[in-house]
Amino acid sequence: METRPFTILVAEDEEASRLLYFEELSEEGYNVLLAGNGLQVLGILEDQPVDLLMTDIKMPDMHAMEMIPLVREDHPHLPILVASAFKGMENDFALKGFNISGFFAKPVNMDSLKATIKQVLSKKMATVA
Amino acid sequence: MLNSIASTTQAFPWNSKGPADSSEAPKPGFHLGKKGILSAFRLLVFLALAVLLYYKDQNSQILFTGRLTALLGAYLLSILVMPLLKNAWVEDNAALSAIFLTDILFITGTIYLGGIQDVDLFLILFTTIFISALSQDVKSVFAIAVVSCSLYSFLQVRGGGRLFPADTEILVRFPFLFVAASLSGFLAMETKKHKEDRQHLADMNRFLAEQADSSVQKYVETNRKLKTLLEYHHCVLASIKTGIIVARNDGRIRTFNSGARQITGFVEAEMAEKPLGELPGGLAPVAAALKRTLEEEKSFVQDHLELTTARSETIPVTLETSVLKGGNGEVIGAIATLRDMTLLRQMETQLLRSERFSALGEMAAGVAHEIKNPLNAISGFSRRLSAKLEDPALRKYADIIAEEVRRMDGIVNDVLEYSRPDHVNKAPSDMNQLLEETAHFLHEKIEAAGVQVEWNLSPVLPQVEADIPKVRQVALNLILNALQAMPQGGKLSLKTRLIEGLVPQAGNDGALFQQLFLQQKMVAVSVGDTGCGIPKENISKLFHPFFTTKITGTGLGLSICHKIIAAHGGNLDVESEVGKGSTFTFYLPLGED
Repeated sequence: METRPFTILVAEDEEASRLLYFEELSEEGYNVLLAGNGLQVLGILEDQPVDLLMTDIKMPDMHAMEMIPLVREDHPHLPILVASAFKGMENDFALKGFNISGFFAKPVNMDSLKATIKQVLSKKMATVA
Repeated sequence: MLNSIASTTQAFPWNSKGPADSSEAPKPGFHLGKKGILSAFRLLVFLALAVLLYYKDQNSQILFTGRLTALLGAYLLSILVMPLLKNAWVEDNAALSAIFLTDILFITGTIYLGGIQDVDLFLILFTTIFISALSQDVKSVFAIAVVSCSLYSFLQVRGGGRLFPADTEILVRFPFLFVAASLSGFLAMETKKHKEDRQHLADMNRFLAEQADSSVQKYVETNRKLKTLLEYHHCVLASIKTGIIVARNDGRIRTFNSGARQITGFVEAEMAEKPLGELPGGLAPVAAALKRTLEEEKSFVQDHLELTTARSETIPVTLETSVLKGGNGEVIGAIATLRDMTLLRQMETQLLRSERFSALGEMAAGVAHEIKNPLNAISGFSRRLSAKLEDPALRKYADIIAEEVRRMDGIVNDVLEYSRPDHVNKAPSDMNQLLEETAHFLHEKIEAAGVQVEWNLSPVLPQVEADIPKVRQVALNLILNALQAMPQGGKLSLKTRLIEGLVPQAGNDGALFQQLFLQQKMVAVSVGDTGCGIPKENISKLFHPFFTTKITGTGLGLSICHKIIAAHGGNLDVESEVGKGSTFTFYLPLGED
């Protein structure tokens, strides 16, 4: 079986946080792509295959609430993780039926983030196989 | 015969009390009445003639012829039917005249038929003339006199006497008849006049009596109305919540209503008639305003005034004065109205506070969000640094950074918790159970603090609709605060109770809160300590976010508690006394049942 690394797209408007995610996830062996706003996310998803999207809620050009429905149009099964400064917003996303795989409050606990990614992607591999 | 006239007069006694209504039926035993007198006279005339005729008969000359007997019979009959006549008839001069004419004709007829012209029967005509005075009309009496004279002349002529040339013996009789007519007519007129005067007087008396009667009635009625009005005004003054203090223009207190008593604590009995200058010190602003109003004859309004009550409390009031004017527009005093603004000021303060809170919350949420993003990177990198560093000292520094970030995160979370939209997921909850669970959760801390717990849970506490985790957070917060207030140990009292209606409660928001919600049934949960207490000046700031007297603490705990309880439609209240302790109570409304 071919061992292609999973590609994770991280959407985060703060450069420092973006760098943190990149280093932490790259170290885990993932192919990490970075986006600074919603439009970049949509562009990258159009250009290349992505296995998981990790996104901030508040971005300069659009809110995750606006972006996720656009993503879901072409990628209905793409696992999406959401990170936000606001605790308790997972309920709002759950209610919207966005099919979110995980929600993280900032400051994000990297260990639990990595554990969730691993879990979500192992499921994905299972479904592909 | 003059006696008879006198009796006529007596028929209308002057001093009679009641109205002398001539048409009134005569009162038996008091007088005969006109009809009676008339009948009596006529009977007298009849008897006189009958006796004369009989006497004459005895002396041979004449016979009781059929015509004479018929005439006598008819006359007797006319006397006998008299009682059947209506009283009104004898008041009618025409009817009376007819009767008198009948009498004269009868007398003349009897003399003529009886052939007794030579007897001095003319005297009987006097009777008729006198009796005709009953008509009380001089003209009628004269007419009767004229008729009598004419018929008498006729009798004389028929009887063989001569009028012309005058038979002096007969002619001399006529003036007597007219004198009699004049006299009786005059007396009758006088009687009538007096009777009319008396009637008039009686009418006047009656009118005056009626007037007096109605005046008395009016007086009584007016008095009653006045009394009712006074009572009404008194009730209005007594019932109105506004304090009303009225000073007369001599500068003395005239009115001090119960509203004024309730607001100021001073009583009317002590204030009445007091000169403005001698009012208690606390009322000095009122006295000054009344004085100024009297002097300048102008109204004043003072909005933000403070009065010191008899209870030595300072209360905010609105004072308004008006010039009191009398009916003619002259100044007779000054009115001061006082309104206790305590409740309104509290409401304003609360409103202001909640406005400030929400503005602050919004800002806090924005700031928190902006802090969270850098924290995310600092936290992540400091942990990364700690993992990568081999020098333990350096790793310790990195760990300190990570730990401080975690603490910062905690503060920011508190701010966010406070500013978050108030979503509460309510479910029926047992506050006794919640309090017990919370105390149990903290039992180690309670024991460590050397604090004893005094339980006072209501056995009949109904369930309330509440968001259990959030209310538990409140209970936890209050108990932790209580423990912190008793570093040397003490007594922690945990109490629940059901409140139905108004319960007097001191404290910051208590009065206002109960005014607004007193109709509702509520469950009250109290956490009390025997700690240092809260100074009065701090009580109003307790629920402000970031207010704290603790060395460590964000000052958000109580403001979050307040907000959580408010989101339930309840209220958080505090009672505290420095040196004795504090009791925090939250009230949760029962759902509609």
